[in-house]
Amino acid sequence: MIKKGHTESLLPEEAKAVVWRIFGEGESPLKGRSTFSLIKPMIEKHVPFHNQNSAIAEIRGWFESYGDRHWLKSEMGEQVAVLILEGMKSERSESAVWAVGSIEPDLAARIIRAGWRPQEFDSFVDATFKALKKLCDRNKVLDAARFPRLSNQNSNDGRVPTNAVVRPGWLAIFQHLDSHGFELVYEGLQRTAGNLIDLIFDMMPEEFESLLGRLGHPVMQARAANRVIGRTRVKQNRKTLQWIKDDSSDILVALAIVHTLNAVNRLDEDLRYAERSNAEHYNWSTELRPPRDDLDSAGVGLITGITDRLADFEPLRCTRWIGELLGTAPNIIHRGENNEVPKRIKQLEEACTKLLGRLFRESWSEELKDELCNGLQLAGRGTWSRHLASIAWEIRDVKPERAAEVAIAALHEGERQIAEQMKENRIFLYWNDWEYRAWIQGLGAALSLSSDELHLPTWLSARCRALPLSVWDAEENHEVFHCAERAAQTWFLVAFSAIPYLNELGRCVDPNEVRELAEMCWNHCDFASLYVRSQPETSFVSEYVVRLAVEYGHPSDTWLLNQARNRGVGPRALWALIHQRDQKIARDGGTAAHYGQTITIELLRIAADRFRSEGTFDLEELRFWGQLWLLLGAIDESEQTAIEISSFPENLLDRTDNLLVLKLLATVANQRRLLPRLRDDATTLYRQLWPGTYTPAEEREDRTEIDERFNRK
Amino acid sequence: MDLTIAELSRATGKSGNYLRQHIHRKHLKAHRKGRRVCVSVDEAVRWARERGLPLDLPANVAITSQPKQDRTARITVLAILESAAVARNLFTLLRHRRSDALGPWAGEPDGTWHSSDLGQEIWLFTFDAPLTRCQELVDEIFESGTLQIEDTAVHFDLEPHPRCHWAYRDDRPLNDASVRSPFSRHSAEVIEYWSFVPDVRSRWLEMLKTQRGKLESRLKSIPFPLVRGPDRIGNLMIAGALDEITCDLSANRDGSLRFHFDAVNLHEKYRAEIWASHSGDDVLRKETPVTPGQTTIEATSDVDDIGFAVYRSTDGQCIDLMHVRIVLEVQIQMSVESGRTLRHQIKQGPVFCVTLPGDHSATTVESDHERSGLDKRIRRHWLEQKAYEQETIARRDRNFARFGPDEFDEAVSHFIGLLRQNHDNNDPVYLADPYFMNPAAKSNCTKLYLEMFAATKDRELRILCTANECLIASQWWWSDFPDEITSHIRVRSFRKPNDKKGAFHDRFLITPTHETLITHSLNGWATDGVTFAGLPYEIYRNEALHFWSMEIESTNTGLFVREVC
Repeated sequence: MIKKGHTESLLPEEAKAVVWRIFGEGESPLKGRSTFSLIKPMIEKHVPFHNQNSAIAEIRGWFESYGDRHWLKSEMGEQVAVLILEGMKSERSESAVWAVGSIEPDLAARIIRAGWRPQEFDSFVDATFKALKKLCDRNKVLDAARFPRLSNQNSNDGRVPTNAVVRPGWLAIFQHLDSHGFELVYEGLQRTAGNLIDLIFDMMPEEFESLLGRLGHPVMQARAANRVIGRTRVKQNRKTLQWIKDDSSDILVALAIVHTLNAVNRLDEDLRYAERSNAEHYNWSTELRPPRDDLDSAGVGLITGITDRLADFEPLRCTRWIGELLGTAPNIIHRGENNEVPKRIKQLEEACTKLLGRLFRESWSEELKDELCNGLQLAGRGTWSRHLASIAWEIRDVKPERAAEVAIAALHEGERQIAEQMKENRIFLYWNDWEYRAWIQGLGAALSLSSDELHLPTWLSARCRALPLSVWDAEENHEVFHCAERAAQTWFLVAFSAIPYLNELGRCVDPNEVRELAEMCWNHCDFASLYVRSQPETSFVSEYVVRLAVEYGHPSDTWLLNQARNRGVGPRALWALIHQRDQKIARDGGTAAHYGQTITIELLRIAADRFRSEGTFDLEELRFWGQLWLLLGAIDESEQTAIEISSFPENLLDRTDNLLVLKLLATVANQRRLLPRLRDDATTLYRQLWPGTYTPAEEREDRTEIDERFNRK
Repeated sequence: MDLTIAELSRATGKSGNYLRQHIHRKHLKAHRKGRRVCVSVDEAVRWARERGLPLDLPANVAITSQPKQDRTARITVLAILESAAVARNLFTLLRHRRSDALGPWAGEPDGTWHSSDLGQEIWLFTFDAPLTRCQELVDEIFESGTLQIEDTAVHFDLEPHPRCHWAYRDDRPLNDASVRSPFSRHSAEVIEYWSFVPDVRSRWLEMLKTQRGKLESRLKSIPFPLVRGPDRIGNLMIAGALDEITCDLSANRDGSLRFHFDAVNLHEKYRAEIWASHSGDDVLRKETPVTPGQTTIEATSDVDDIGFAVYRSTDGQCIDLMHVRIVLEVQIQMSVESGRTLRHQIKQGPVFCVTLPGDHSATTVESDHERSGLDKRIRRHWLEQKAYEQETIARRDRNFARFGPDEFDEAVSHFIGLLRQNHDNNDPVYLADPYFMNPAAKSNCTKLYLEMFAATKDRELRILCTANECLIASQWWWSDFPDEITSHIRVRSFRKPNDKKGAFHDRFLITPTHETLITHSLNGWATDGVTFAGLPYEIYRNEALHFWSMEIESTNTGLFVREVC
């Protein structure tokens, strides 16, 4: 119901007819004037003299003021909206459009639905799109005052050029606007333009697909999509999938992918909520309700829905989109709290790899590969070549030669990436990042497929020899040497990652080769540790290498003992060596108990000798020595390590360190009486870790074990 | 490379008979080369070293105590281009070390030149090859005076006799060692061929004036501090890593020291001296026999400074020396109490007093006659360099400015700048110049006087001179200046009453905040140049005030003062 109220009685008819003009001129983002300042001149121009003063006073009274700023009182919104929409009648000028843009879209839609004929609204829509186009043409879509860093640096004219918010790839653009674009889409977009977009797409949601193309700016398009999806998602979670059609524009496909993946995130949030709380008052994201509906399957359905619909595209276009999707999806789909690959990403990548595998088998051309690479590169992730490796692995049985070709391309891209990072002196090993791990694994798979006559030590040696890793380099340019050292570690990771793949291909790596590779790694660590501070022998690479060497190198006990003596095998690798050996023995059935014990005693003797003779260790090294003593049950060394760890400043020690110290002391206490000072330390530490009965789930087993060990003596 | 008996005789200063006897007794290994009896250079080095004999080898022979066959080398040539195909050597460093010490990934040296443009027409060329090949290139340099690097001929101008010395590792900042070892894990045996050609060095110094920071970063890859040691410009340095042994010393957290020793082939015997100090006090100094592996040395105190020296037992030569300052995280307060004692106080801790060395020290250096000529020249070169460095520092601090006779305008400009300091302060300015009233030999002094008078217009300029009566009477040049520009100037003459000599001879300028010593009188700047040096002591200020406070034409003040104008 529209209230007309007191405006009819107080404002003369001539003045009522001028209200839309005042707001149209004042709210136009193209003119930069204020509505309040236009009241007097507009009334003086259009209203008879004897009514002017009262009309001016009346209209000014609708505004609240603070200093030079004036804004419409909230309670006047509806009355002014009525005056505008009734006053403009069939007027469809630019001013009339901006005047409507000044009205809240929900309110405007209500009044228009009540009073306008469809033809009237259609003509208004045409006028609006013309006005919005003018806004785009003049680079006035965004309010430059809010984004000084985006505005035109050269002309300082308050314009934000479209290319300031655009990046290569539609998916990347809309993903960015969706993830980081609130300030652009809701605060940066001119208020009146945003209101008009909301109004039109509220009134004509079914015309979204056809009208979207008429908006000439990605921020406007993102705003329109948000409006439509905000209204439809709660009723139809798969609605956006319908936008992915062969004849859809790229903009529409990109928006559909972004919002479908968002829907997957929302379904997962709903699922998590449903699993842990009472969901009575929960505001569900879609029409699905657990346990009636299977939200997990719905999420999978959305993911496969994207690939199924993209599969209908012409092969080159499909490949390009899949490339963009694989590159951008990790930026959209929520990551888990751990460092593992997110479940939905895994599902998406599996679906995409399957589809690409089919395309690479059935519609192969060089352009297909190029299109995929182009799409993958758009997201700007340095690890994109892993997808090429996945495809190569996917098609290895059916098209082995093509698989080798694609694998070589993946490997070359990996080499190019490392060379580029070398140039910029910024090679890092992000083993905690699942994408990095997947990249290394991908390169390993690609390496295994790249040649039938692969000799890993030769391959690795060639890579490392090409790096500036001589003593000359270490002395002349430490930074470059340090970077090359990390590049060498990367190649070690790749070479060792290839071993399981080669085994799966039925080309089992000669165990001698595996052991040779491991020994190359120790030599490298021993040499590099003289010149770099990061202690390569304690990096995760050494642990990874040693575990695979034990698994695939079929090492003899003599070899193990020799490695334990090697200075290049740091405490982390030494711990991993013994740990992996124990695991393998447990899995494979093991050796005779007395013989195994002899080897363990010898390992303990060697490790203890090294611990005593190799001098000062840093905290990182002591952590692994500590783990090793726990594994071997070494009493004196446990005590010494506990003392050394405790001697570090408290701010360097975390909860895990304190727990390790307590475990080491408990190991000692299990065998002999602790020194009074250490007993006091253990008591303090115990109370510090667990002041009451509560124990975090992941520490319960440790606490029980510690309690048992302390209580025995 | 071999030496004939005659060459070895010249190199050691021993007679041919002496050498033949040693060969006969098998103290010195020799072999026949055609009809001549020769001794290998390495054998000659060993033999001479064991007997403490000097060994001044011919220019084309390089000394190395290590067998050359298993050694690999890198030549680094820093050259400045004179034209597209001609360059001058700025510094050439040949480093060599054991081939097996290059690391697991180093392949065979490629034996090709690599070049990089460092800007400013400076090029860096590097060449990796076996030492024998590099030695051939050095021979080429001595034969032709040039080194052909692809299309570029790099010209060298080297003294024929090398200077041999040792370069040790020393991690202490600001150590005084002349050359630090270019090898991070070994000390070095250095053969250096000096260059005394001034023009390349002048160019380098010019570049340093404007591009010091840039050059420092661009020359990072040359393990020799050329920017800090420009006296070495033009030189050729051959550094051999003393890598038959590898030593290291570290401090454990429990206070003990860990000395590590490795040897490739332990043919020689070594002994090590290990020391440690804390706050400047020696807490450990121990001689220990060297055995491969780790040796733990207990220290009874905290240590903040550790070091070792390893000596070869046969000749006592120091083969490796390293000095490490351990970084300790302490908060200290420091204040100078009095005299030359520095007091350090660790927060809430004990007070440490450090006595600085005395003001005077002397070192007597004796050198053998043949080498003294070269040493003297190097010493002169070094002193010249130190003077240049000090002048650079003084100039940088705006405390020193030197102008030649041809820089008269610049000198005037600098002088006027000094006069204009603290322009808003109305305190008088004092200028002491004994010969101020002497007429200037050159006419361009008029400009100096005019600018000086104009610069001090708003305050009193008090000029102290030692003009005698005669000069005062004939002040025709002074009268030529209009009164408007000299009204604020007062000139007084100070002379000793009895012998009628000038009461002072120094020239200086005293402004409200600065005291500047001037080496020449104003009227001599155009013929002899002038130097300005800032002084922090206010000695001349007090002297000027004291002089000016004396009564005019009184006989009671010790000096006879006369108001000139």
